[in-house]
Amino acid sequence: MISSESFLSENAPWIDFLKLRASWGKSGKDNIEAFLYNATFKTAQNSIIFGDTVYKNYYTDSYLQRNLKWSTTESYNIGLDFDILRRKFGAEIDVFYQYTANLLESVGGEYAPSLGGTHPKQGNTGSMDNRGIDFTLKHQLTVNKDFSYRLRGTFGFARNKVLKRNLTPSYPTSLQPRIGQPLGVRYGLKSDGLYRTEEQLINAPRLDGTSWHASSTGPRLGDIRYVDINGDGRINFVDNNNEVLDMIRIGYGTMPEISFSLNADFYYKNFYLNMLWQGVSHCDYMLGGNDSYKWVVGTMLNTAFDQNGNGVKYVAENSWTPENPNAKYPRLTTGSGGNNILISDFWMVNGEYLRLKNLTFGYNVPETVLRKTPFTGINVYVAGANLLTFSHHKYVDPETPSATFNLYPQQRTWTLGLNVSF
Amino acid sequence: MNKTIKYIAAATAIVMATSSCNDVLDINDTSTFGDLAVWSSQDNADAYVTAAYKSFNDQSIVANRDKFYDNYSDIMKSPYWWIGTYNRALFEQSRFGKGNADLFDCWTAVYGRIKRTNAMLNDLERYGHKWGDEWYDIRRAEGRFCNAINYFYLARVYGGVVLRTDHSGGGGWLDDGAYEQDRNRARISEEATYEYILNELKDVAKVLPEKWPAAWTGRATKGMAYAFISRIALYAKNWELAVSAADECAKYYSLVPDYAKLFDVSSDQDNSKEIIFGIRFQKNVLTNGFDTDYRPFGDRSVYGNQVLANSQPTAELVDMYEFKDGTEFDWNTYSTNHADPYTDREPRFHATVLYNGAKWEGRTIETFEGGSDSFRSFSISEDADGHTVTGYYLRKYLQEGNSTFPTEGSYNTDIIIRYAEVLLNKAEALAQLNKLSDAMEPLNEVRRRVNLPARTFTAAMSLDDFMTILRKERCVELAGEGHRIWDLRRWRMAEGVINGKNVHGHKATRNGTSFEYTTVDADGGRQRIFLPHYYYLSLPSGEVSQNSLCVDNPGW
Repeated sequence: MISSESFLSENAPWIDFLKLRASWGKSGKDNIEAFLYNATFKTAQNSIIFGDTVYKNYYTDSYLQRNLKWSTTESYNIGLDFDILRRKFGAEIDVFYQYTANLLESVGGEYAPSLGGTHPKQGNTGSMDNRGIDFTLKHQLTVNKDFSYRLRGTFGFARNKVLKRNLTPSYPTSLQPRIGQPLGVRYGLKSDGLYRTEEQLINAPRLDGTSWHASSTGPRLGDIRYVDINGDGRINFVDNNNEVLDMIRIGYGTMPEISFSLNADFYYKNFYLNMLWQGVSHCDYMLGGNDSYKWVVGTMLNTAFDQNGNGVKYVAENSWTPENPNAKYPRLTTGSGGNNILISDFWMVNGEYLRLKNLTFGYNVPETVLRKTPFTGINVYVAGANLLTFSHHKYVDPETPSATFNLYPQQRTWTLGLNVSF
Repeated sequence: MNKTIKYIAAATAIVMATSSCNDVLDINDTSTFGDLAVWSSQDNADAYVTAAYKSFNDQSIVANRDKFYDNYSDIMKSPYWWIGTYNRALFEQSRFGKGNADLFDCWTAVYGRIKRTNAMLNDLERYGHKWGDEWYDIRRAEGRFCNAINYFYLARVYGGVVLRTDHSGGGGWLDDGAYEQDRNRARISEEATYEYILNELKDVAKVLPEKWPAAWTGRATKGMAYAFISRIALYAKNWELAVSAADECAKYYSLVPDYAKLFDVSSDQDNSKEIIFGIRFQKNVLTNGFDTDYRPFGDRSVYGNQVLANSQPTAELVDMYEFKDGTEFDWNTYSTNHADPYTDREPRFHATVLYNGAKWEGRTIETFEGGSDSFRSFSISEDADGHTVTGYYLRKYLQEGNSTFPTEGSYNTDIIIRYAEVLLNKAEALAQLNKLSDAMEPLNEVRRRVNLPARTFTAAMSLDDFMTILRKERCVELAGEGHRIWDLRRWRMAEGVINGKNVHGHKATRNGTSFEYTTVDADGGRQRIFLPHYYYLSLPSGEVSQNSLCVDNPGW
């Protein structure tokens, strides 16, 4: 607490409070499946004879997961708190770095037979780090005896990075963590709108791969136009050796890297106004039901009449038809699958938003009036929640983005209140 | 008041002190049959520990008809193309190849056993101390004993092994692949492999008990460890060790008087002081299929059962058996002193071979044409179907009088190691130490049991002379017990005995009341193949491809 030092209080009396913080910590994380280290034994009845007695044997033909441990996180933190000019301005600033080792992951792969035929299914093989900054800025001012206000803004930024992980040779999926990249970021094809002219179709790269998503006729007008990243004339995620080809990082993950809020209180005489704005940035979500594999699952928001279900009007009306060549969405097809449901940035939505989360406007009946009543306090207010939202997609709640509507959405509510105390 | 507070403080301090040592946070999983249950009692723990012995069942020649190794040698013959791969491995060069050790392939299976036993040893360290040091030490020694023999099973096929123990993994941990660095591990040399096995056995011999309580008889003992040392030291050419280990065995074991009863469970194995380690079976409960697999053809009409006669002694073996007075057998001269070639032969012949005229379960074996057990020439295209292709059937390990074998199975003990072998091991080791005179004694001890006259040492006798005698003695004493091919391999004689050769039979023809015997080719005109690189067979391809430090044997 630097402000307690005499050299500061004497030389800089405008500093009300100044504190420098530094910390280091190490913690373990154990929220892993219980008893992974335990074996399940089987019984072989009448297995072996000693003397004249037939005995049973216990054995296990699975891998004994004996040496798993907690992952450990080392945290480094430097912080600065201060208030200056009679607490008119203040701030709390934190910079942190965390290193997590021994992350529990599933491991696989081929093992030599000399290892006995059973292999670890999980290991403490991963590590990652996380860095960021958090700060809170405070400002309060009493303008005069009738009007005062308080503002408190927060901002947080955190970015993690996968340092080490057990790369399984299976198909790289859209959300598969990659070394050197943040956890949970999204990979997929890059799109460049729709095929809208016949010229674009000439020498258009053809889809590779299984019949599931390969089109025998190649792309048609109204299909999503993917970018052939490696220029081999074909669109494919990976080659036979799982070398990544046209699959690139297309966005952030679902978890925002940046979050911010502003809390504002205004007081004028007996009226008060309180607002909470909040928002996030550096996040994306897909308009698909399952964004972890190489194709998106049809939902109402990306496929009209999916599963013979309802057609959302704006999707249906904005789908490409020869009469509507400038439509936003690709042509509608009767078949499932195909070119237009691959994981790509076409179906990805920027998840950032800014929302007026709470607003309360109220009035406290002054004491001079109260004295004539049997009440000790009367307060009337009107409050609203989720009043204003600025986001990139009208039909998905950005706070809990889900294209499958399996969550109950946020409600806009208005509350009229009267508090009376005796 | 003040006093009360002090008491409370003291009490709290005690509670905190005790609870901090308590295992309240070590919760056990009771939802599955797991560690808690297995280590809840000594009986349960022993049911886990003794599972290590199951690796011996994998190699049992009695319990596995595709592991009757004598069929891949000059002394026994399988008439089949489809039971095991004995004949295919002998005749077709393609059977042994890169990544394929054919009938000897055991790498993956044995390592499966090694891994389980290592895991058991690791668990034993974790849970097994609660019953005292002695209890713990003995069980640890049992596990190490079983794995030492497992490594021997590998070494005799492949040479140097990839050594994986309960402490050779990353950080001194169990070597089970938990650490990336354990996935690639180089083989140790053949020499180092045998040294490791013998050191392990010497170590556990110090700890293992001399004897188990009756209900646990058959678990590893000191004598058992020394017996295996005497065998394996021959592979390591550590002659002194083979001799000293055999001498240790002599403290606990001796030969039984009756050779034939030794292999018969209904005679209580002649109350066996000789069987050092055997795999036991029990009627109806834990049985093997030996009678079905090896009985002579004539038993088909007796039992209405498809007996297979899967192993048949060859002329090469039969001719090695002396007459009971110790004279050598010779087809050209036997008739001057003997009415037929077989009746007057030494007891081991009668205990090992069923021949034309042998008494068997109240009937007479008839291998002649038209007889109940008639001869059929070996042919690849036409199966012998239970007939003899050599003129002989195997008798050793058959249960004479076990009339319920078709439904209730066979239950003779499979002898893994017995004292007669230890004596012959000692004889061989002494000879290699150039103590030929001393070497005669254990050899003659084996001969004395069957009332054969002692061999005498002469000054003119060379090591080669002695080894010729010894090799023959091993053949006739241990025939049908799976030793021959391993002996040929360690003597580096397999090429000479197998390659380019074929085995023979004696075909009987009835001539009035007497029989004529003619020597016939029992290999259907084929020549056997054994190439120099067969001494070290090829590792499974998975080992070489997944273990980057592992190099396959040369020549493949």
